[in-house]
This record gives sequence, C-alpha cells and structure tokens, in this order.
Amino acid sequence: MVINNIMNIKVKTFAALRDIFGRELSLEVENDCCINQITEKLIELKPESSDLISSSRLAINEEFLSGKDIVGDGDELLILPPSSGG
Amino acid sequence: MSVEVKNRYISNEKIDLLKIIEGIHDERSGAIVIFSGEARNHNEGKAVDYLEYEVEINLAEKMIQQILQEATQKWKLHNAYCVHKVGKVGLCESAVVVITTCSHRKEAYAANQYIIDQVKHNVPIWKKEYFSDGTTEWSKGCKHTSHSH
Repeated sequence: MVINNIMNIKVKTFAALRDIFGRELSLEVENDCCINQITEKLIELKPESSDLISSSRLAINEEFLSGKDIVGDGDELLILPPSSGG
Repeated sequence: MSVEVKNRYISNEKIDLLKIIEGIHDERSGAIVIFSGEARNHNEGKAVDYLEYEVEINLAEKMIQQILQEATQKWKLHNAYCVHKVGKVGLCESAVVVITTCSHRKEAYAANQYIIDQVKHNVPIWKKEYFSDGTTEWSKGCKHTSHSH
C-alpha cells in the first residue's frame, strides 16, 4: 500500500546473498524508486554485500531488469548472484 | 534446501542417467551426445565431500526451455534435453545432464556444448561446495570470457 509516497517491496536473495540478508526482506522505499536506489539501500544495510550485489542480475515477474527500471508497490524483486550451475 | 518439483528441467531426485539414455534413441539420429556434469572430489586444492545446488526455479525452467529451443533451431536437432539436480549431489553423481540428438555428430557436439555453457553461465542455479575440512563455500560463478572447465 502506498502511504505518503512510501511503498513496500519484497526482496528475495539467493546463495551467498541469502547468507547475508536471509531469504526475504521487506523494504520501504520512495514511490517511483528505481532498481539502483534499491540496491544502494541494500548495500547501505549490509556493506559486505557490495561486490556481490554489483555483479548480480535483478528480476521481477521473471523478467530481467536494468538499474534505471522503476519498481512498483508490492513488487517482488529477485537478486540473482552470478550463476554457478553445472 | 527443499524444492517442490513439478518441473521438466529441475529435479531434486537423483538423475538416473541409464534410464534417460534408454528413452533417447531415435531412428532419425545418427549421433547422440550425452554430457554429464558430475560432482568431483576436489576443487582448487581442497578435498570436496559433496555439493549442494540452489535454484530460482521459475526463471530456471523458463530459461532452460529457451536455451533448448534455440539450440534445436540453430543446429537442426531432432531432440534436446537437459535436467539439473538441486539439493545435495554426492560424488560420482550427475549434477546436470545434457543430451542432444541429430543426424550428424558435428552438430550434436556443438549444440551440446552450447547448451551446457548457457546453463552454467546464465541459468539462476548456484553451487555450494562442502569440503572435507568442514568448511563450505558458494562457487563464485562462471566468467564468460575465461571459462573453460
């Protein structure tokens, strides 16, 4: 719900980032916030995540995003560290 | 981790390589290439006991399907298949299997290598190594330009 231009988004992290942040966290961000502002906020919360977040891909609704894309209220943002399958 | 699996390309069951091979023969295909990526007992000088894989399953399923479709079109394959195990993978066990079938071997080999490279580099799957000394480490991931193993 958007109140006073503040909205909530859910962030899901994986692998080494999950060890730092936990599986899911909820963030309060300003309305019309972009992906870059969210990753900056996460790095502020856990500075040790900086390198990993910088090399991660981000996705909402199974679509990859760029840093300037805008996030909507209630969106679930996936932060995907570099793949290491196989 | 535990993943509820109702999927085609991601499995938390042990990959039964022989069973897969039994069903893959195809009278149009003069070549069937099978790649099995396996857990090995060492990495960077340390003894490894086992591996564990984590996945973002919705994206992984979608991306593997796209990779298989791309390869099938590009190399005119008769069939392309990939399955990746998640959760614990023991030594001498398949973590990922890729099978390509084609009229001729050149295309079957090339397509198989393309598929495994794409899966390793791009699909959101992550490997954690459990070393014999009790330590663990998430794999740093592949670099597109330097990856060769």
